[in-house]
Amino acid sequence: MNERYSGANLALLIETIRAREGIDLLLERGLDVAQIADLLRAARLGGFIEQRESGETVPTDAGLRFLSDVAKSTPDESSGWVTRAERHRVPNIGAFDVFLPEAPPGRHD
Amino acid sequence: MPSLTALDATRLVELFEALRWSVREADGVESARLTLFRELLHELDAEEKELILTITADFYLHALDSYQASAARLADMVAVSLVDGHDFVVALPLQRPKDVGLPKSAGLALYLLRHELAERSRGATWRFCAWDRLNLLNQKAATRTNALILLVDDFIGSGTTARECVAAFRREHARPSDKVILCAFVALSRAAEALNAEGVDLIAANPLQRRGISDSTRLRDKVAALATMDNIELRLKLGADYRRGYKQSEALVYMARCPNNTFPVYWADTRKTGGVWPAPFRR
Repeated sequence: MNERYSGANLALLIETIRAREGIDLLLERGLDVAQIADLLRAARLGGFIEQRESGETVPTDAGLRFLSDVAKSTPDESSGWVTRAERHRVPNIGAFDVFLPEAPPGRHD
Repeated sequence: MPSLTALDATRLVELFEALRWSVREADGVESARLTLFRELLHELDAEEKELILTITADFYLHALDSYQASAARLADMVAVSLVDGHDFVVALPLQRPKDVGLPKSAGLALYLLRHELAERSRGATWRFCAWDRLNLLNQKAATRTNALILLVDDFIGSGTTARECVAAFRREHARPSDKVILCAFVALSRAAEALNAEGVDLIAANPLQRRGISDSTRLRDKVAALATMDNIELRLKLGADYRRGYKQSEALVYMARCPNNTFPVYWADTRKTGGVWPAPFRR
């Protein structure tokens, strides 16, 4: 699977279908319409989405599991996926809290 | 604003593939027509998108690269079955008196057909000539009898112009023994039926094109589909004559340029409010 069909893009496509949203985010990520169509066909073939008898296309259990796995995953530089994993969350700070960034490694003032 | 879903995008690409329209340019980027169709669908609600995706499946793209083949097909039709009983064949542009001297697509069609017919007339029992103005016929072939006169155009839409041309030709240039036939690369079936009913023969190089909604075999509720199209057209800057295509032709055709008989959603480039409408087949 090349960069266009990375896990991040596939996850975004499945999420887009789950939420019945448009393709704007996929277009913003640099995919064109033909690539989005290829991605959707790949998602169908991979069993991540399916068409119900009503005609509606929805994520399958495998698709939902894939979304969940991506959400728990660590950031992947190749896809640029921003994980929602607990350990990557930064706690909110108040407007009057003093914030001192950590010194870079090897620098001790 | 309505948005395009991944399913819409996939359906659009599959439609392009079925119609053999290019999805990508030679350099690999998305084709300009696909981008315009995407932008067009982005303007439409679900019902309108469904209509456009459904009727576009019947769209007939006869771009410039199809012209030569159509000219050859027309020439074959003339040489094989129409020329019997005639020893003189003349090809002329299908033009209204007021259009004489204007560059029109009939001139292009005539140019291509002329070469095809000239080739087929070599060694044949019939003589062939072509002129680019109707008045040359009586100057150059004043003594003709029993001639087959071909009035040529690339496209016949509503048939209104064709009817006007034939009437003017019969009035000003024809002889009683002339047999007049309209020749087109592409024609709408309603025009052909109306012309035939008036005793004018028409041959087309390609299958006659039916109305995109009223004659569609893909739509169940045509009244609702027409209402949906009317609703889209309310957003376009259009003269009343062009609603559903010129004279309500409901065409789904593109030639060297887009005929105004085609539904304006495909070619009108200005919104009623003044902005640009993403027409995939701008005129």
